[in-house]
Parts: sequence; structure tokens; C-alpha cells
Amino acid sequence: MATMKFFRRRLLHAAVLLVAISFFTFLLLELAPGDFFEAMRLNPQISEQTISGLRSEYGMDRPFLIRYERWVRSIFNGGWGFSFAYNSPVAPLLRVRARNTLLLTSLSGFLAWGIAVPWGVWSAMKRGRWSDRITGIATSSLLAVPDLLLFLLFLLLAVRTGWFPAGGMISPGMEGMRLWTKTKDIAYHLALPSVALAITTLPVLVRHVRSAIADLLEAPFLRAARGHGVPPLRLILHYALPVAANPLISLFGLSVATMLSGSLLVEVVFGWPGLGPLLVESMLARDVYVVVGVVMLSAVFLILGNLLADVLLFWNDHRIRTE
Amino acid sequence: MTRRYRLWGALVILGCFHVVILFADFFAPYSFTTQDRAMPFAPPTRLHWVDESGRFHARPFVYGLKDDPRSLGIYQTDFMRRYPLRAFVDGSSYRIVGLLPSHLHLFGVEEPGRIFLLGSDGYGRDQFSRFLYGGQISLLSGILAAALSVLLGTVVGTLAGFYGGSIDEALMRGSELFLGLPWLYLLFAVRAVLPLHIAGWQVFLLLVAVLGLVGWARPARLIRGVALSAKERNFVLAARGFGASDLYLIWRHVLPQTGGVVLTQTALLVPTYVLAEVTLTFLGLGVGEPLASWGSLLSSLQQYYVLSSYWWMFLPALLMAALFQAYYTAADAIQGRLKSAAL
Amino acid sequence: MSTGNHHSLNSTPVLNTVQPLIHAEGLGKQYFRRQSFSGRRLLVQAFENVNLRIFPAKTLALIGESGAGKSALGRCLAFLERPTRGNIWFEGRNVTELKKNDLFPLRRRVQLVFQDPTSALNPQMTAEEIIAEPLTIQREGTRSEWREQAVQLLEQVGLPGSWLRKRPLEFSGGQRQRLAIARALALEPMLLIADEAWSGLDLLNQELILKLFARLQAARALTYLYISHDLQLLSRYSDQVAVMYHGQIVEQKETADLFAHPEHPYTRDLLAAMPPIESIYRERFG
Repeated sequence: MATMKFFRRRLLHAAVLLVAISFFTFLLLELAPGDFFEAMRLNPQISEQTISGLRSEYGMDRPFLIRYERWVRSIFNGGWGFSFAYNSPVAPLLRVRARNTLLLTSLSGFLAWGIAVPWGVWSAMKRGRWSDRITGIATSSLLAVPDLLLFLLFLLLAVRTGWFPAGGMISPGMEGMRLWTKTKDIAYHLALPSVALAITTLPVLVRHVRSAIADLLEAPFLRAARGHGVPPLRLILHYALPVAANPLISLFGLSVATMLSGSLLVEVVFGWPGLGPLLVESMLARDVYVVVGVVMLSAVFLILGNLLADVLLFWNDHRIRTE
Repeated sequence: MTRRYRLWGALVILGCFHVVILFADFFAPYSFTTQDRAMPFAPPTRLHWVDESGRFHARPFVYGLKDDPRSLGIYQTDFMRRYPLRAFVDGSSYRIVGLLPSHLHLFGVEEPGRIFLLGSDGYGRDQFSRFLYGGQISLLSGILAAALSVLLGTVVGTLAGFYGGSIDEALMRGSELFLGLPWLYLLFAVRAVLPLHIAGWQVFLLLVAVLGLVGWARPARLIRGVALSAKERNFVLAARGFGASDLYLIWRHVLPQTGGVVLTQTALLVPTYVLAEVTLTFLGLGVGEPLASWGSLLSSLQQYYVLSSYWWMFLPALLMAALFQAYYTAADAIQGRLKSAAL
Repeated sequence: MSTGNHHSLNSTPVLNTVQPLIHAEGLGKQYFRRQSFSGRRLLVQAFENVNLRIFPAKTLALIGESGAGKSALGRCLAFLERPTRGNIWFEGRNVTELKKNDLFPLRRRVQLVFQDPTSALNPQMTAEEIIAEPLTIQREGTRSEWREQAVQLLEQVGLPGSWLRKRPLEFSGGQRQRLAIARALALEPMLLIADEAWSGLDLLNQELILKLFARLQAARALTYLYISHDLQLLSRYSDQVAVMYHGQIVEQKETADLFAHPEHPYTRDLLAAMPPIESIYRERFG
């Protein structure tokens, strides 16, 4: 079956990619002079011997390939390496942080696409008129605003008005509360960063949706349908969107990468405990295995996102083909 | 018609930014390290033409600041001290484009007056001067990286489009890979390779290299499209008929057609890369002190008290937004011109 | 070589004592076209089993319907593409298998004039650069010599020599074609292949271009291959006619002979479709 072959190829492709990325990242970090224990040298009370003892205890004095191989093994047995700063295997750290990042990015994604598609469609239907022009101006202005500025302004909003907590994920003292209260609290914390992240990805999406739909509205088959008196909403939903879905799905695949990059900054600015801050602090501390773990995990997300996009593309295309 | 005005408007703004930043030594009243510990977080200095007794002065002036006795960290205008604004003052010495020594500055006020057009930071350093000097780093890295990406993209795209076949396949697969990478993560990964405290210029160069090497994919695809359509044109076939070599065809007939796309892509990439450098420095991973970059100007905003009390610390970001808007407008206008020329 | 009146329909066929300038035998070309949907590759035969002889200072008209493979054949004869089968002899020498470097000096001998002058001229180049381009590529002479030659060529095709600095967009359709012809002449070729070089123009300009070709032929003793679908138009300007039908040459004769004794059914159809001069005259002038 062609479908099976297609997927097998994609999975193989993905696996090769992951191995390559892991090796490459490991190599990159290998080239970095100094390691986690370097920082200890600054403390005159810790002797050289202690440092080298710690090093060998953690296996950091072994040759590169041995360390790489041990790390790969730890992937399979669920450890994903060891964090010196947190003094624990990397995997549980990643799990918690990844969950938080996914929460943030999926909510942002829903918001962004949920606004972009209707807005883009509406703008396409009104193309050439004032409302479309305003959309164009709005999107290009938003594009020009640096993400950083936007995030800081949102933070300022939180600090000044007190409507939203200024960062973090949970208010102190909330851990023991009931699920509903906890969820509300988390939602309050989640609100600003997810909206901010959504706003940064919005302009590009709106533009693409608009151009895809606008092109289609000129197409003969759609004009014929309109001539037959098909109402506009049905036109969009049943005629235009299925065909526009293809480029939009590809866009979705690409936007996963952008969203991932964007989430890093928003998490750091808002103090949202996701993969972003973890990456930054472990880089600053030279916590090697954590850095590799985060990079690998984000690569996995990326690949999964693209795979999902491929599946959707295939499914969508398949349907059109058999009609 | 309006498009032409927009393009020229954008180019004028871009020109102003770049010239002023290039000659930061002349336009900035202070150097980027000059501190005034007595005036941390001073608000932007106001220019006055009318003094407190109602008299008009042709030459604008500024007032001194003194601490507000009621609350710490707030300043009061000191009407006793007036400092007229002077043009072409003598100030710290520097070298124009690194060669000619000079100590002329566009404007300034007499000591101990201070003119902080954008306010001052926690160390009493003039934000305006630091914006100009910071621009040299941030803007330059953006421009260099964009040039590198576009150059690489042009080479790859031209080869892929012109030769087609397996070369095209291979190169386009490669570009798919690069398009899908989260470049910020990649940037971080590479930054991690470097020791934390290496010289600022080395970080700078590496930043430029990584950004440039990662971002070639999109320009490459677009240029490939141009090359594909160019090579089918009859004048290329005619030139083949004269015995032209591939290199001649690429140089004479294909590359000139890519000019528009090259310009547009560069104009689009520069803001992206500037932002990347700013983000990295903001997080503490880019060029470090004492070199100023726009990121370091914004990094103090990570502290809540700065964020909520000292609004002028946002101003560099607003100026950056204006610069980016100019770049995007220029890119749009060029694209519009290309479209209408193709008709 | 005869420099007599080429328009005469009574010229006798040239005897075997003269060698053809270019001679093709068993020429065939096929290429792959990819079907976009299923991804399968289809084999398309542009033309096959083509035998052609074109004699020096003579004009052969290749007539056929659109898509019959005439342009592909023209490109093969102009060395722009390689045939997949058969052989081509040029001045008695087999040039089919020549490598790129050996082909290089031959390229100046054969030139192709395209149907659409707008696409055949780079809009960013000036007239001078366009005409001098073949000289640049073949590395002939110096820059000042190129300028002189460009002026001369412009004048020979009926354009003012002062137009050197103009770009193609500033020329009209007919003028652009003249510019393209001037470029084709720059290397002083012996064989000129005109692929519907007049089709995109209005009737007046068509005639002018053909007259220009005829003038140039007389002045330089050029050999021509005219490719067209319009038998009526070319009948006055060609010595021989070859009729192409579905990728094959079905009939090849002297022009007068073809009109008098058409053999193949397609030729007959072609001739039948041409309105006779008398009926046109009667229609218009009563």
C-alpha cells in the first residue's frame, strides 16, 4: 500500500534525523571548553582533587564516544543522562518542563490559528476594501514589533494592573489546593504568556490564510458555485477551505518550528517553567546532559509536528483525490 | 504612486538610522561607558525654550536634577541650574571610521549638566549614546548575517534552479531540513559551545556565522524559482546557440534577474537577525560588557522595579520597532515593484 | 553559387553535383514528459525518420501544423538540442556526435531566429549589448569593433544606427524582430533557421520581415530554413518545401512542383485550404 510505504519512509527519515541531531549536539558540546565543574574552581575551598574526583565519578573524564554511547543507552532505559545542577536524571526534569511548554504552546497555537483563520478568510472576502487594508497595516505593524518588546509590555501590564500574576506558573501556597482552584490559578498564570505568544505568530498566519483564500476566491470553480447561489459561509467551508487546506497544513508544519523558538523567549520573560528557562540556565551552568536533552526533545517535537502535518496533508489530499 | 512615496520614506528613515549609528561617535554626546553614579535612572531630559520667569530663549536649555527629598530615586527639576544646549561641542575623543582623530560631537551641555535624551540606566549611563553605540553591534550583526544568508542562498538557489535534476533534488532536500530547524535553539546550542567569557568580538563573529549559515534556506528557494524561469527564456537558449558556457549564462542572464529577490530577502532578514542578536544578549548569552548591544540596554527590564517604574527604558525597543517597520516597508515596496515590472 | 532570382517558380532543381550545406538522415527526437498526477513518465516523439537536405544559398520551407515537431527539428538543426536518433552532416562533416568544445566553432555557422522576439531578447540589455553578445561569447574582436559592427548590422536590418543604447522594450514588435535578426547575423552565419519568425507580427510586418530576409540572402548568399504553418505566405519565398505531418516528413519537392503535383493527402488538404488568389480578388473588388 502506498500509504504504508509513505509512512515507513517518513519514520525512517525521522529516526535518521534524530540520531544525527543527537550526535551533532553532543559533538558540539564536546567542543566547548570547560564543563560544569569548572565553576567550582573559583571556590578556593574545593581542592583540585575533589573536582577531579567528582569528574570521574560522573564519568566526565571518559572519552567522547564512550560518553555518547552511555548517553544513548540511558535514552533507552529512560534516564536521558544526568543533571549535575539538579542532581537527578534528566528525564523527569524534561517531563515536567516539557508538559508545561506543551501546555503553553498548544494553547497559543489554538488561539493563533483560531483567530488567524476567520480573520484571514474575512479579510480575503473583503479584499481590496478598507477593512482588508487595515488588516494589512495591522499585520505588518505587528510583524515589525520585536517579540521581546511585546512580551515585556505584557509583563508591564501584569505588574501595573495586577489583573494577572506577573510570571511563574503557580502562586505560592497553591500546591496543596483542590484541583479546580489549582487549575484556575494556573490558568491565570497561563493567560498572558499564551496570548502574547499567539500575537507574535498571528500576523504571518493571517497573511498566509488571506492570500490562500483570496487566490481561491478568484478560481473559476468557486465563481461558478457562487453563481449558482451557494451562500458565502457554505462556500468557504465546503469549497474553499478544503482546497486551501493543503498550503495551510504545510504552513502549520513550518510554524511548529517558529512556535518552539518563540516559546523559549516567552517562557524566560514570564518565568514560565518550561523547556526554555531550563535550556538557558543549563547552558549558563554547562550542565551538558540537560542541554542535549532539551535540544533532542525539541527536535522530537519538531519532527512529530511535521509528521502530523504530513499525515493531515495525506489524509486531506487522499480525500480530494478519491472524490 | 503611494508605493513610491512609501519606498522613499522607508529608505530615508533607514538612511538616517544607519548614518547616525555609523557615526555614533559624532552624534552621541557621551561614550557608552561614561557613568554618572549620581544620576541613576534619570528620566529623559526635557528641552526648554522658556524659563521659569517666562522669558524666551532662542537657544534651548536643560535644567539640572536634584534628588527629591521626599522619596528616594525620584528626581526634581533644579530650577537654579540652567545649562544651554550647545552644538558642535568638544567631547571625548574618537576616530572617525577608525582613522581620523576628532573630538567633535554634534551637541552637548556644559558639565555638570546632563542631557539624557532617552534617560539614563542604573549606572547613570546615557541611554541615547548607548543606543547609538549598541546599534553598531546589533545592526551590524544583522546586516552581515543577512548578507551571508542571502549570498549562500543565491549560490545554492542558482545552482539548483539552473542545473535541475539530482543537484536540485539534493539541495532542496537540504533546504527543507534547514527550514524546519528552530533556529533559536540552534543558535543557543552553538552559543553553548563557546566559553561564557570569550571576547565580545568573537561572540559577534560567531553569531553572524551561525545566523548566516542557518538562514540560507528560504532565499535559496526563492532564487531557485527565479533561476528556473530564467533558464527557460529564449534569450538564454539563443546565447547557448552562440556557444555560451554555463558560467556565462548564469552570470549574464540568470543572476541579474535575481536582483529584486535578493534585495527583498535581505530587507526581510536584517530585522530578524538583529532581533536574534538582541534576544541572545538580553538573556545574557551574547556580547558582554563593556560592549553595548541593544539587548544589554533592554536586559535591565527583566527586573520588576525597572519594568514598572522607569518607562523610558522601553524606548530603545520602540526605536527598534520603528527601524524594523522601515525595513519591512522597504521590502514590501520592492516586492510590489517587482510584481508590476513582471506584468 | 547561383545568385539569380529566387522568387522564380520555374527554377530547375539543382543537380547532384552540389553538396547540401546541411543534410539530415533518419533524424528522430523523443523526450520524456512527466505526468503531474500519477508521476509516470510518458515518451513523446517529437519527430522521426526525417531526411532533409538544404542546399547552399537556397531556401527550404518546412510546413506543418502546430505541435508537429517543426520547432524541435529546427532546434536540432541549429545545434541547440541533440537528436536521439539519426545523423546530421554539416558541410560534409558528421556533426551529430560532436562534443561541446568541437561544436563551439560550428555554432557561428548556424543561427536560429525565434518566433517571439520579446522572449528572445534580454530586456535588461541594450541593443548594442544584444547584438554584440555573440561576438562576446565567441571572443571575436575588440569592444570598439563590436560597436561598429552593431551599428552596421542595425542599419542592414533597417533600424537607425543611433538606437544602440535603446532597450528592447522601447522597440515595437517588428523592430524587436529586426534586432533579433541583426544579432543572428553578427557572426556571419551560413545557415539561418527562422522558426515562425514572422508569426507574432501583423500582416504588413510579416511581409517586411520576409522581404528583409530575401534581401539579406541576396547580399550575403545565406541559406535559409523557414519553419511555418503558413504555406501560402512562404510559397513566394522558398525554393523547396518539405511538408511535415505528425512528426514525419511526408513530402519534399521544389515549390512549383509541390503546387502542381501534390502527392500526400495532407499536402493536398493544405493546398485545398488555401484560397486561390482569384477568388479573394473577386470577393473584394467584385
